Amino acid sequence: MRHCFLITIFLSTLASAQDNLKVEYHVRFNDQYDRGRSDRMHNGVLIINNHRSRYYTVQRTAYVPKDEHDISIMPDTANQVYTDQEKSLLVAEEINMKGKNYFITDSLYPMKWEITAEEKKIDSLTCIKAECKFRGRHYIAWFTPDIPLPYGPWKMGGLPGLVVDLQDKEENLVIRLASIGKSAEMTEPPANVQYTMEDHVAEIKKLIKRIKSNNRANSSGDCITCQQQSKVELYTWEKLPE
Amino acid sequence: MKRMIIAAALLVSTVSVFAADVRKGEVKIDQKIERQKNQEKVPVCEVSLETSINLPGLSIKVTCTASSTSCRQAIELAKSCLAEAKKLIME
Repeated sequence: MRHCFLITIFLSTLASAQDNLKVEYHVRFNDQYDRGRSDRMHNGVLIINNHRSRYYTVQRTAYVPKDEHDISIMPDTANQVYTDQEKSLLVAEEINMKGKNYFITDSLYPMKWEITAEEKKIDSLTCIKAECKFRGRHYIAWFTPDIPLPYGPWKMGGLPGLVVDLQDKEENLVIRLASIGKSAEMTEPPANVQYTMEDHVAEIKKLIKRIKSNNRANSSGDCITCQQQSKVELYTWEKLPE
Repeated sequence: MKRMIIAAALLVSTVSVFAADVRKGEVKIDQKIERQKNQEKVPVCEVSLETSINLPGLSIKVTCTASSTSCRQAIELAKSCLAEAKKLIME
């Protein structure tokens, strides 16, 4: 019954150019990935209109710092990703250390999916399992050929059906379908984004190098028994290339 | 702050293995970290402070460790190292 309802909405959405398809997800993300566990819940929203899409998450619970030295810059709405299939464009939002957001261009669905023979039903939608490795993590996705659109949450997509379920192998990120409906939200990507993913990676590496060299230079020279050492650890969800 | 310094000063006079928390950092006097100074071994105070800056999808953790025969000096060194790192990250 629900299946019929979903498909009806989907088909009627396609029939109307004014309405967008709105896919909502429950998102669980471990803020302490690669270090420990601290899961938080978010709502994920994917808006699809013709050849464009916009994804974002809204946090359901705020980040709780461990102490005063645990500084967080976590906006309510984050992880925005715009795609334009016609232009083969993906624009992603990043946040800088001052909490200001900016956009970068990235490759549209560069991951190589391996589509398996495994099938299951998710809310009466027939789903097929696919796996890929993307920027240092192993992802498992379930897409539905019932909705033959190549979109998915975050930067994931390029499959012959909408991604309704996604997680990484360690379950640091778990995205589950919540609902499918209509929306009037727009999907227009920000214009004239010049900054690329490569620029972004280079900027992070430069920052880490600066902190390391600064702390070496600051070692005290006026005290015979004094010693100073610093260790900088960087954790990124998308693993940086060497 | 005042309590931290008093605690650190008290530790200077203790040679036995000892550890106390100074905020997130740890101050300890340990035989293992004795150093040679003017041909005799002296106890050394080691302070370790850390900070994490977390963004969606990115986290930087800086740990500053400083040591000195003066606990007060070790704390100040570690704090200034951390403040400098924070400044660099935030600017």
